[in-house]
Amino acid sequence: MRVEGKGHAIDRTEKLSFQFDGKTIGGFAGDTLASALLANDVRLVGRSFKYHRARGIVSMGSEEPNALVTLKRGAAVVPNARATMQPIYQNLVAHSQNAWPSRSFDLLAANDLISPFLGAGFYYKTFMWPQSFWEKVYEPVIRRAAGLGALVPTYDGARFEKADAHCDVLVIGAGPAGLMAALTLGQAGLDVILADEHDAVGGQLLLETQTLDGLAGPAWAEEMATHLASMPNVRVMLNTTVTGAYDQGDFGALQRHGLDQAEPVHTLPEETFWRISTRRAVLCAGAQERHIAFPDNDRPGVMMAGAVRGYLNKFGVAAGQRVAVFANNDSAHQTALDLAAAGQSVTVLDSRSDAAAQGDYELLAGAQVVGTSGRQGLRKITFTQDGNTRSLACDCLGVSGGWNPMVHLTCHMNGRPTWDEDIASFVPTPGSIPGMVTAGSCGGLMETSAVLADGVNVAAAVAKDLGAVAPTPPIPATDARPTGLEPLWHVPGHGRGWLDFQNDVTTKDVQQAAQENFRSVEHMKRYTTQGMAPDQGKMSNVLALAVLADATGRGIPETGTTTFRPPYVPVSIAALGAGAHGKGFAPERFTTSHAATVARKAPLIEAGFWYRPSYFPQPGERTWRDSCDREVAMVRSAVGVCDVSTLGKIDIQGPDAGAFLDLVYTGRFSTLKVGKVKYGLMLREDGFVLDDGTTACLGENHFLMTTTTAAAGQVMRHLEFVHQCLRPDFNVSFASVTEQWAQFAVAGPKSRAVLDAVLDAPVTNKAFPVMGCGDFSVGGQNARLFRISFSGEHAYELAVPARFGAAVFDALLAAAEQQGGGPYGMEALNVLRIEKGFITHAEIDGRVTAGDLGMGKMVAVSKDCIGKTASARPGLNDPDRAQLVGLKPVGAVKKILAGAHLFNAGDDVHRTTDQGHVTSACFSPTLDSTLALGFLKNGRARIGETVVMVEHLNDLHVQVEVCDPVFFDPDGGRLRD
Amino acid sequence: MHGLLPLTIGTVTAAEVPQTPIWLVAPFMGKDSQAAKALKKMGLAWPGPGELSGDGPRAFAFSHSQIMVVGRALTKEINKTAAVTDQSDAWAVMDLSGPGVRDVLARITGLPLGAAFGPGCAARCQVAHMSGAVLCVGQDQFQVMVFRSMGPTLVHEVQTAMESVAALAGNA
Repeated sequence: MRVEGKGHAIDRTEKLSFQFDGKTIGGFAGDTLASALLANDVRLVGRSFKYHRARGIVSMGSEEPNALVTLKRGAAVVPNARATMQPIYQNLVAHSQNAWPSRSFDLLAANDLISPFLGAGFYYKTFMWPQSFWEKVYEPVIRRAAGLGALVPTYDGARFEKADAHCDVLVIGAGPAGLMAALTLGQAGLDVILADEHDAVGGQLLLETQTLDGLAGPAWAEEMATHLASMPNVRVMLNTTVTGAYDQGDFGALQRHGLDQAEPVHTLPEETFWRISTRRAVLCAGAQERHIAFPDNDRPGVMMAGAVRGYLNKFGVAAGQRVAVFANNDSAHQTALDLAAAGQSVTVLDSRSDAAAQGDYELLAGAQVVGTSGRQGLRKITFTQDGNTRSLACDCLGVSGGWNPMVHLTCHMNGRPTWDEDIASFVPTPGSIPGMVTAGSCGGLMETSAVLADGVNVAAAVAKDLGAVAPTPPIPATDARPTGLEPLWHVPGHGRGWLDFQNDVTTKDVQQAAQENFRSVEHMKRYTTQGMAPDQGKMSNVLALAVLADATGRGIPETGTTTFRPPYVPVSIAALGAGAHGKGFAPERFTTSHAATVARKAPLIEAGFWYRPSYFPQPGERTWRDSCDREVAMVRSAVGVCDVSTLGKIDIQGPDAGAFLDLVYTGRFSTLKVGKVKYGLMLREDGFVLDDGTTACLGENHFLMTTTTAAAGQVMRHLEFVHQCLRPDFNVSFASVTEQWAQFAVAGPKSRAVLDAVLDAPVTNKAFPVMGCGDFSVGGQNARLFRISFSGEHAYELAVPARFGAAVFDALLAAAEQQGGGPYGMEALNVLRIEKGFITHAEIDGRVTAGDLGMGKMVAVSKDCIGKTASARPGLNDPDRAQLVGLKPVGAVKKILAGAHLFNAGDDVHRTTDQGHVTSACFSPTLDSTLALGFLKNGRARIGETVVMVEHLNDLHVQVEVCDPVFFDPDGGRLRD
Repeated sequence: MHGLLPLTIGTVTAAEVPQTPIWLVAPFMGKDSQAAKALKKMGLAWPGPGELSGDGPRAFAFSHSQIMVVGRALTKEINKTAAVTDQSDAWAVMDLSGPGVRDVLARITGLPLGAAFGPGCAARCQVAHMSGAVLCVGQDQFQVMVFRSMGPTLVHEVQTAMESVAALAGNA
């Protein structure tokens, strides 16, 4: 019901209509979904989680436990939206949750009838037996009935984002304390972020009739907003909930956008997840009103007293025709005063026998509500006073059990709050979060003038601490309001007293937990599920532990609180993982030949982040094998061109460059002559192989190291480590030049002819033998040529500055095609190297030694190197270690698969009889056979033996012959000729 | 990035910086002051950590005892004092400018982008999920560098951030 003359947040000239459970309802611009529903007397808004009890709106903020709805917005479906935090817009569509077929007639409400059997621990006790039923029967049934809201499994295209912000001071909460703190800090010249989860600053002032300096609270807050907006060093972030306090002054914050827009542009993010790094933080999170656990206190129409007057003052909504207030404190009387001023008659039931009326309304002192009735909404309350039980007709009951300071963020680094007897609640323990202080009612102050002054004083101390001192702003004058309170947690009686509305936990559940010896508050929480739902027990925590304290005969401080963990409000996974889908998932690295590769319709495979061609299909080729076989034959018979720019290239310079390479490589490089290239093996400190590659001597004290594509970053990091930590005395410097040079392998018997067509001067076999390198030119531009081969063929690698990469690739291909050659991809490259027994990271997987690879002799005896001593450990030289071997099928089945394991013929297939495994396999068109590399126990001594390859996924048992890993051209004649 | 830029969304414009000489200069042990002198003769102050010097040709701190010199050839003198590596082809460099530029950068870097990070500041940092560098070359004007091969990814990330900033400002 709307009340004239009230509701500063709504614009009565702008009417909006929306749908709730298919029914069209009207509201005004500025309404939340909750205020509009209340204005239309919609009291039953959903069903509870476990017992499917009828539930209504309780609060006004993010703590709302009941009014969770599913919003439908275009293709997007948003479950668990809080009606209290969702503004309405034209044609908004919302649905209640947890009810079927409808919220007013819900079949699972039958759960409520058998509730005596469903108390705390019901699941644990009931679904124990028979064991086999859990997976097949119990779990599927429970899962279908459980959960709050439902996700749509398809991606809806909604945008989310992450962003970083930095400031000197983060002020959390823009109520009276936060506003004064931000003003004080801003005037001191500090960079301030003021974050508030609502869509306007003011906090509690927006819900009250209290005046500040003669202005109504909302008007004063608006003036402050204007003032702060004029300060360039103050940034006000609305709709922004600070969700967590983390190390080093980092805070997480969730900002919601476009909430009041019917059709926001598609580029507008729904949420921004902020990481705010700050030097100091001032927590001004305020306090939240708590419930009283009296019987049937969950009926729709029973609300927080503060929310009842908040809806009246902010939205001009009377939550009922006939309102009663049940409280243990003075502040709730303000609800009666505000309603009375708006012309409504109100009765206040105050549990304190000495309570006094503050104005013109009916007061029943020393009264306690002991029951409520009304099937789908409150119609009547029953109460006791002076030993008599009476009833009172009302359709709304405002309840106040006092106020809980919002200590959550102060506990995110395992701090525990301190019990404050005066307000019968927990207050923050100073110093719980380094660099964070609290101000206002979050610190336990309940009187507005004290809150305002605290905001200024705390902020002034922070400013001083940061070395910024300025005159503090005057504290606004405000009318005093009483804040007296006498604790009341629980009113016993018939019917259940509800603590946690979201998870359906009652006082009986908590008492039962205590009875069954779950006496620790953490055990009680897990046994009853109290405080576990999306609201994380914001309303129920203090109440529940007070009941537990009572049940266990301990005091509340001794009982303590459960652990407060981030996030303070639910954060969408989409916001946390924002950007990490599609092209945002990982960087894409493209070679200079990428466009030409794509134009030739080569399928791409990822290597590191690089996109490399798998093969280059030709007309008439039906499978990748057709293309691969052709490309292998092409390289062996004519010439192939392959982009190898992705291999890591590290430029190493300095007087100690040679000595440095001697230290990191197993072999000696300091004696390498200018114009020569050498193959090198690099060990980790533990003696296992880190990487392999070639290093060229480009000039005096100038080397170029190549690494494998996958290990480029790892090797660079290793070099930095060795230089900075082990040999900082070495005068050496290195730089990654992977991106600077585009590099192409030209391999095959006709490779020299291709180079001669492209290089400005011809290459001769004599002047440029195997493992030679030198400067050449292409089209007048500097180029580097290396006579190295990963195919076993007469081959070169030509490097040019990346800007010329595309042109040189085209030129090489044109020349190669003239010679009957062409491009080849990763599949052919793999076959070519397996035929030659060359290793990749499939073989050097981090568990192999130089000895395992048959390269033990490459560990130079005459010098030390990283990993040498560790590689001499007995276990690393055990002859029974698996050694690199070649494998060929010899039986009827010709298939060998990488990853398969090897067994002796006749042995049981079992991990204890395992003899080794296959690392790489291919079909070799050159040798017309399947070939593989693998590791076999004592393999080099077993060449000629037949073992069995077992692959369970394809149920393969294949007889394979152990052979030398070099299948093709073992004397290397093709390389040299 | 070729063919993907320039791009203006809302108040921010992204453009490709034409290729220019880029040198990684790392003084040999004990040669820091000679290298700095040689750089000074080229008209550039040796940039300390987080610094960018020069307008036109520039130098900025790149790593421990390593700087990048951008926009001109190096002298023989500096070549004698430092390990010098040509990086002209190794980097994709994007110019990002406009009143909303810091909001865009806040979505791709974790840098403190307050007034303190003004002209003359440089940072080696993560750019989206890439390793890169950000230089402040003017009021509301920055250069963002990532490896050349990742240029298209940089455009994608910046474009997404620009669209978001424009939409949030009501400029979409």
